[in-house]
Amino acid sequence: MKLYRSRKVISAGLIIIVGITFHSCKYDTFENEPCQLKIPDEVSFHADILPVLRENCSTVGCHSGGNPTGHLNLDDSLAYGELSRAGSGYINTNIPTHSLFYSQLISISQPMPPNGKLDDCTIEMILRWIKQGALNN
Amino acid sequence: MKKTNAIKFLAGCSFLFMTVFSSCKKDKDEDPTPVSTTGSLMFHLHTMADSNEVEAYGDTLIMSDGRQITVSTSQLYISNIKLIKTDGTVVDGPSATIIMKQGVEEYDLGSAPVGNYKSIRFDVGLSDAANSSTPSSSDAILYQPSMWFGASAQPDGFVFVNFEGTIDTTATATGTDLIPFVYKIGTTPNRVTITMPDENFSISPDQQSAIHMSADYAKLFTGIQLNGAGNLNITTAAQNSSGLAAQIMANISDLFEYE
Repeated sequence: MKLYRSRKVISAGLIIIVGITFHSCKYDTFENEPCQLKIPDEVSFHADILPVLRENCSTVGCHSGGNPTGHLNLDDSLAYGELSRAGSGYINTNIPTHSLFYSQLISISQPMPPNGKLDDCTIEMILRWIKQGALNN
Repeated sequence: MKKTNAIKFLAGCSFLFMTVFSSCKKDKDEDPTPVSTTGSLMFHLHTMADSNEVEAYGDTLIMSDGRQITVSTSQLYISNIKLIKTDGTVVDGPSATIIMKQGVEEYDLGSAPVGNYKSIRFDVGLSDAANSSTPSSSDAILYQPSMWFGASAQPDGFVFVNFEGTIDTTATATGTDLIPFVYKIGTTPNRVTITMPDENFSISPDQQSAIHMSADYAKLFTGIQLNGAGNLNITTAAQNSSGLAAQIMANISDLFEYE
């Protein structure tokens, strides 16, 4: 009877401690790559980047139309050409974090879009696209 | 038997507690990364002629009053960059000197101290030392023959602003016969310090910050009677002491605006 009780206690203890162990390790596992599951391995300009621009940048009165803000038109048909224009500095594949397209998204004082920062994973996806050569894919 | 079970229980608990604490160790022992005291700063500059971006030399552009203009050269030097903190104190910005050219918008200025700023100040032109120097051909910024008054940089120094093209000079701005103009503004007295209006910006550690501005070269014509004799040409250092040069120099102060 006592042996049976001891085993029950040990079993209960083990379950609790194993539960704590797994719970305590859960945060470690995802902390370094919170966007890992959300960003495609190969980021596509047309499938991944353009929808972000369409929703947040090339809206009426911003980077769109005949007189776009900052002389930067990000309408679908022009966006890639505008961003990749030589001398514009929007994309720097040598030093991706120095791409204006990226640094403006993380700017503290003058962030784009001005009405609210994009979520971290979207910004990370854009940076990954630049790191992958900023292809018109 | 009882003793053996107790020992097993204690051993099991010890092992699992060690596992628990060692699994948490990483969270608590992260080393703080030293915070950098500098970030990098860039200018993003557009070359304009009134409301038109000068996308290519030679294009005929129509300004808001209907006057036609073509631009064949639009270049200027920027140096002596200062940053104005939100409390009004002025600190040295990047030490870079740049030559702004049509078709180039990105100008990496280099590192700048981290902080919150309300404005920026810079010279259109070169320092006395640079202006009296003779650049080597490997000097990409100063070895620009189009920015010299003569065949070399000395003895007359550098052109600080070079604006050339053709323009309709009719009073009604309806002409189609465009007349050539050349404005080469230089010499130390014509160096212009520009303090931009307040517009807060921050430089963050190890991050790049950009200041977006446009330079509207059409503003150089403000107050100038275009069809007046000699009003379309300043090509020598000597001409830079004229009243026309003084007017253009005054107009340089209004050349830049934020985007």
